[in-house]
Amino acid sequence: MRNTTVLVVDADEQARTATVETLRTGLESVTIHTAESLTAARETLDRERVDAVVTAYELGDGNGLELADGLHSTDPATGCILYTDQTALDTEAVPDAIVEFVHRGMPDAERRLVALVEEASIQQSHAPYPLVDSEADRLDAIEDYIRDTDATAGPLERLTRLAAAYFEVEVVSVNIIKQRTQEFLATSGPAWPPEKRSDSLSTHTIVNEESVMAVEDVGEDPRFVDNESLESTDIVAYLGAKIETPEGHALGSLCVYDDEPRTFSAADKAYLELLADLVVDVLMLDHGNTPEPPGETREGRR
Amino acid sequence: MSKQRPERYTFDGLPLDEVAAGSTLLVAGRGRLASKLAQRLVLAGQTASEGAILVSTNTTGRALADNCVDQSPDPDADSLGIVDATGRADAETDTGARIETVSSTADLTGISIRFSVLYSSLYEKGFTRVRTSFDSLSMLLLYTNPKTITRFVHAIAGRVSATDGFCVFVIDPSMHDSRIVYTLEHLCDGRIDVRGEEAGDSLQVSGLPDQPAEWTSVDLDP
Repeated sequence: MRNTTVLVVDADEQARTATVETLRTGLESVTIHTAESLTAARETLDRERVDAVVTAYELGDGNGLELADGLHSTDPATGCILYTDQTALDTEAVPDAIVEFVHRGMPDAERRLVALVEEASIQQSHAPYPLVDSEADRLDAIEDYIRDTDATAGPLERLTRLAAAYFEVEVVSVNIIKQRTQEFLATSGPAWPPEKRSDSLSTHTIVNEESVMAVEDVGEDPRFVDNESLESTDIVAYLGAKIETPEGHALGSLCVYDDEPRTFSAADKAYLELLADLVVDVLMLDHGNTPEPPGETREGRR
Repeated sequence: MSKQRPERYTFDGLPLDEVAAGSTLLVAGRGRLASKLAQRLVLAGQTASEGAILVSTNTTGRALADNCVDQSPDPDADSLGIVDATGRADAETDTGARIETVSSTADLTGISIRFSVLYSSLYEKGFTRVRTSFDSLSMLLLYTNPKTITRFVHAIAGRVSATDGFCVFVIDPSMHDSRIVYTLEHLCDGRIDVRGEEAGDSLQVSGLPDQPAEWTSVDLDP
């Protein structure tokens, strides 16, 4: 059973307690943190990762929309629900703080609140990036396939060096897209720390219509405008091939990065796709399964 | 005892099969055609238990309300909610429709909250199923970045899914990079393209089963 973690923010202790009780009663498995102010909420969010925030509007030292706006910058996929009986809300001051709104005093408000928290946490329905249809199954597949990273590190690193030599670049990496983060299983270059899924190029690779996604110049691609994380790197061109299990779940991608604009040929894409299949073979061997026989293609698996 | 599946949504006078409750569709087309189709998808086939919400960045609340009442043979303004996101605050109407306004098309927070307010208000009146049209994403993309719009569409689609509603988002693909349109399309359960030619208007559907995959004639002015 999946546990949901929620932060309840309300300056009114009685109201806060009532909201906590509503969530405990309505959700099967839930961990609840509470905060009585905007400052306390932000401190909690700095320490704890939550699936959803349920906040009142007036918080004494600020308001719930300001909390939502800040949340979208620090943890973009966390849902925020404004749960209040106030209707005079200053939305103009925070025009991009997209929230769900449940009027506390309305009939059935509690049931609606629980349903929206569930939707936000399980379906990541506030994420600023696309998800695969079977996201829950995909995350389960990651747990299943990515086990002993020490055992696979050597073979995967050698694959990244093969790709780096072919594409004549310094950095090729094997990236796994987890629920909120992109993590690196192997790289031909320096090790990178995990980064937010919302900032990752591979987030779009795993939902791409074709198995391989090419970006000739990230600066010219509207999907990656204002991506401060990308802007702080030397990444200009990108080629990513899905790492896809035999069951069809895209765990992440095998990625090539170049520091200048670049066009990738059909042969380039086919080669990277082949190497991505080898990544899957390595993971399958570690998983205890037999890789596909020679001649079996990604299409044949489907 | 297994939970009964919610009733599917139907569309009178349109060449479309039923659509599952909880679905969100992208309606893609140039000019006014996509807007007309989106409005028909929301208002056509509406049953007694269904409410409707029209969110518009292009047409004022008053004009929308008047238009809906004029076009419907049996108008039930009580079942209609409108979010006027034009920024013109033209919401005075004697049609009985409830109109919420935002001060600016760029105020996505205001749009999302007023949408939620109308959704709840319809529920309180007994309309447990709600059809919604957002017209248009193209206009919203002029005011804010694609990532924010992605979150917006995702959040709305999440509410629609959680409440067995039905929602359409209008977009003119010719105004945007195809990668953005693909990303937004991916957030939806399907896509309806609409086009107008001398011989008449037609639509085609992708991503949904049992729907016209080839261009099919449609009368958007019955």
